[in-house]
Amino acid sequence: MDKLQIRNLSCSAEGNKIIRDLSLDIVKGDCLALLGPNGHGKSTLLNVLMGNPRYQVDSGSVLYDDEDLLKLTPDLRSKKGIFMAFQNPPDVPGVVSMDFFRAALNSHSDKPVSLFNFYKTTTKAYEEVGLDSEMASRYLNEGYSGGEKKRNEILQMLLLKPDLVLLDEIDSGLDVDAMALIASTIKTLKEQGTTFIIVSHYEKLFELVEPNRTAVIVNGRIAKEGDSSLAKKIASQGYSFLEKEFGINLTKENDKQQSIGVCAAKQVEKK
Amino acid sequence: MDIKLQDKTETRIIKDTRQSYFLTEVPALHNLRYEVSENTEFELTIVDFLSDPIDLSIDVVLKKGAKANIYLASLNSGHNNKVYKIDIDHEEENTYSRTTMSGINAGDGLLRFLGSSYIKNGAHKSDTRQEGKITNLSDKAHSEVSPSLLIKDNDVKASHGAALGAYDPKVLFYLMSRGLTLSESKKLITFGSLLPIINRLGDEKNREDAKKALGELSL
Repeated sequence: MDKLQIRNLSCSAEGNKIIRDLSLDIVKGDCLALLGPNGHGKSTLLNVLMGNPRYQVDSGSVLYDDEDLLKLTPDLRSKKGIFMAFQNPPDVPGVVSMDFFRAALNSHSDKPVSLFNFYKTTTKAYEEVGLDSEMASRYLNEGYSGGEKKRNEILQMLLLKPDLVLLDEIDSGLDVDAMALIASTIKTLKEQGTTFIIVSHYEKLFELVEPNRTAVIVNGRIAKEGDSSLAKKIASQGYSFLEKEFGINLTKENDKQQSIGVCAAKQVEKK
Repeated sequence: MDIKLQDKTETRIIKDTRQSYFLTEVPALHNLRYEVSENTEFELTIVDFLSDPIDLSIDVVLKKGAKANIYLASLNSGHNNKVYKIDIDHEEENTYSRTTMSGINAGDGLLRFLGSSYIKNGAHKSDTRQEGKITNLSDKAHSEVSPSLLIKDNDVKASHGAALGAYDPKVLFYLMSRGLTLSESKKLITFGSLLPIINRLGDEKNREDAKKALGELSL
């Protein structure tokens, strides 16, 4: 991947407008800290980039190396080199992790991966994320702790070797050691040229990963862009300085009409 | 330590407490009664991928301290009606049962999972759970899951769960986000919903035949 161009993108889910006229450019090797108050569209943007059918694209365009990304199904986006680490990966009972990983690797290759290479690659990846490789014979994500699920997402990132990685709160629920391990993995891939868009609420991950850019989403738009110092300033002062210094309104807009309820009416029988 | 298998017309004593069947033809007996004697553990696995109609009733009677695990995997890919009824009678105290029914309805026929767990008077400290799940792969498929509980004693554990529907869109998106096509993702989920039960078949050839039949299912 050389460039990702998002132009005037507007998206909604179940009638709620979430992304509004958002534009953003990403180039190869970028590591973008995507910040913003809760519910203002960070996770939605990542999901839209990955092709989650839950979100409807109302207008705008997304070009991935000049190709219309929005026309592609999630599997084709994956084959183009995009990977999303889920905030809450779903349990998939009955689907053995090993079978799933093999199917995923085969989908990215012209010929089926040999059994030897598969075991070699997965064993190494399990080691790198600090998980027991015995977990490969367990059902995908079922019965995993929150931390194990996050490590399992990073493991899949290592297996698929993507060009563009979308990390949706990969650090939530992780202990200090797991956070350091995952940050180190991200940093290694970053140094190898992988591009990252990272959503996180914690300064610690950004301290460890050292993003080169920061973008802040407010009300579904990119309200402010800057270098890594912007992420540090938000960590120390919160989002309120955006309101004070730049006049950015942080109050959440809501375009959907909502009922505030119906008052009960008591009928009194006339005597 | 015996288990009695009884049809309307005959009674047989079964020594093996672990029974599994990969149905290759409609069973001659369609109304089975297993009696599990005191402190005996019994496991029954039935895998049915037949393209024939079937109407099978299974009644398991548990005596004091008896345990039963019943597994059913059914694939209905044609126009047929398939009806299963699994009743567990907890006749005496300290009995345990788990019933797991998993189905795929890929045709335009009927797939119905019925059954009850009946904890009778005197069967205190018993524990039962019935679970039924059917995934519809076709708009024309008609499916029904209806487990029920009848409890006549105190100090018992009893629960049931029923799920009916199409594929979970969150799971489909997750699998597709790793490069699997929609069809491959559906196949993996379908395979996965029946695989744990197929793996309980005692005979290796039956396990392989069942997996092959499932793998050939066009989605």
